Amino acid sequence: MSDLKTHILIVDDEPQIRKFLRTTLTSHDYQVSEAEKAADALKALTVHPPDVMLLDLGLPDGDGLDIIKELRGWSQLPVIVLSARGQEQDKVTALELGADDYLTKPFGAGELLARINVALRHSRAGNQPQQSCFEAAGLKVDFASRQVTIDNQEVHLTPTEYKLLCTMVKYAGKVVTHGQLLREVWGKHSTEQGHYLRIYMQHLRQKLGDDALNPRFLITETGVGYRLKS
Amino acid sequence: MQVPDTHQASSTKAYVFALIACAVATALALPLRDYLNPANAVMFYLLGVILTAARYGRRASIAASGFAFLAYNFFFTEPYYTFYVNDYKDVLTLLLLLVSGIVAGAQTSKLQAERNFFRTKEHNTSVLYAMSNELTATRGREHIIATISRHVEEAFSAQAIVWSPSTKLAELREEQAAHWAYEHQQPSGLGTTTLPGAQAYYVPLAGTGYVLGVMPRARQGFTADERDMIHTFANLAASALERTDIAEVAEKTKVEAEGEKLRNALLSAVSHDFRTPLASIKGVISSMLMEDDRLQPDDKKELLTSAHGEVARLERIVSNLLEVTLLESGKLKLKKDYYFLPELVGNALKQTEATLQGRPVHCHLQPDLPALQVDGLLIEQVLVNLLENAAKYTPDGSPITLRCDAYGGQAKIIIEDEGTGIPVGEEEKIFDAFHTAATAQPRKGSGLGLAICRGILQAHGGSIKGENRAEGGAVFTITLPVGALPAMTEAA
Repeated sequence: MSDLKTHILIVDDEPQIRKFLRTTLTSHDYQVSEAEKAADALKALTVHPPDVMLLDLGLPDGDGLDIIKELRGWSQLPVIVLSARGQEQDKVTALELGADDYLTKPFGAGELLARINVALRHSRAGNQPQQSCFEAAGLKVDFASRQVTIDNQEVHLTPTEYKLLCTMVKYAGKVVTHGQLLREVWGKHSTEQGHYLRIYMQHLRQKLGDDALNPRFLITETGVGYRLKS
Repeated sequence: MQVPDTHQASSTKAYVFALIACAVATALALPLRDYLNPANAVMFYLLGVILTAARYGRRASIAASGFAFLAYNFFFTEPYYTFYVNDYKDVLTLLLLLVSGIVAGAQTSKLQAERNFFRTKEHNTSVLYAMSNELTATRGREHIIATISRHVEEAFSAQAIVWSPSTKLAELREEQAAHWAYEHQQPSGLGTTTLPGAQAYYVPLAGTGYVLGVMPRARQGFTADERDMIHTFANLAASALERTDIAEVAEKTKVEAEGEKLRNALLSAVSHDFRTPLASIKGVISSMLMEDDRLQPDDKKELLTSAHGEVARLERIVSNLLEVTLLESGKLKLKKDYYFLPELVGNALKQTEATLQGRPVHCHLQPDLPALQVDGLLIEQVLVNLLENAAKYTPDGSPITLRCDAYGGQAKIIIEDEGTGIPVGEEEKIFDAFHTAATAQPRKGSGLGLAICRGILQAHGGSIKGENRAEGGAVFTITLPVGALPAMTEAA
């Protein structure tokens, strides 16, 4: 990487939150710019495009969701949504509109940095040829041979389970909504049959030997979707 | 006792009936004249007189006696077919016929009238009883007014009007009469001396601010008895309406008192529960600001860790307060989806890691638990609240056991601890908002956690109960319904 610092745009109307984010991020060597309103955010996005945007959904002059909608018309830059607990529907909507991830307020610095890292990794990987295999926490998926191993033990998956796992791997570290999974694994018209997904996910967990009580690979993001640890 | 002789009016019909009764008696007795003893023939006429008396009352029976006297004289005393009488015995028979006819007729008609009187009275009583009965079971002003109107309309075949100063009658005359009755608390309108031109009779419902108007459909006015009856109805209606007033005031007072109680509890919970963590956070931060270079890195870390824990506590209080507000206002909407219990339990354990401070949680989950259709976030909150509750009432390091199973359409989650348990007799009370166990010294929480648990489970059609274990400690049992999963239309 060059000596150019990674640039993060913070869009939030609360000065205290911006201050916390700015201090934390600059101390971790990020370059930070801030916007208070939706209009400022859109201007900042065009004038000096950031590498990642942290976006609060409740802005005084407009809905954060509209910014995502507009942005996705011309840019794939990673967007991490900031919102409160209980606003799961907003989170899901934001993710379906193209946001990359979310953070539930209040959140800690560790979580913030981890999410930013995942988002950056995905956006950089997007510009490179696809990896031939994925490896994390003892789980290995070899895309060429369609082989899945856990701690070097082969796991046999049905085609649907394999497709489900590959989709989770594609977004490793990021949250994937139920709707996204249903569309990518079962096709466009399956979004009404959410219970399929739960059952296949349960099967997949069992085959991967993953304990839902203390998951090693697949985390349930209640009300939103699933996340594969990376 | 005044005996109403309601049939006096239709006198022509009564006299015709008396005449026919005598004619029939004659027709029956005449062919038998030669075989009958004169006293027997008299009986036919007496029968006619009594029938007339029973049907048409005293006056008709006197007329019938007269007709009988004449007919007997004409047909049965010699010489026949004249009004002459040869035998002095026949004169006696005739006189006896006349007198006994009048006496029997009078007695019969009196009995009949009494029967009618009692029948009317009984009918009135039963009509009143029906209304009073229904009014007792009726709640709410609107319904009571509707019940009164319906019963009055049935009893008097009239149109009932329940008037109050806020209602407006279409016709000015009716409005004036009703208003006069209301102002003077005296009857007005039809059949009275005040505004008699009105179509309805208006009676004030004393003590209620209402006036009952009764507008007859067919007849011109009401009899004195009917008017008495209307007054009885009015009294009954007035007391029913008065009762609702009292009930409404009592209900309002109760709601206000409960609201007041809740507000007070909320205030004390807020002031206590918010101040304690705020004080500790403020203390940590101020000492950091002041003595930055004097504090050892280890001390700094310890202070910050404790402040971090206090922040988590505040966070929990705020979200509990929000949830209890939603539950109390009935605005909580369930976002149901399919979840497997281990996922929810796992998330709850992760969220309470810090609070449990190393208390081991032993989980025994039945394998292959079915998927539940629940609001996952809320069920997680229930589990978090119960685990935090267990942490509050147990010493450090004390183990917690969590079991899940599902049988017969019901999933069960059981959380056991080895702490102080639930004070005897408070097994139900602990689920009331702002109730904290008496054994919690000092006050340990806002008393919202368990109330929220119960609210959430009730919204799911489930339940929660708290008991003490024989070995000591508390055990909380949650049940949730297990619905059938929609059929899988696609093969695996």
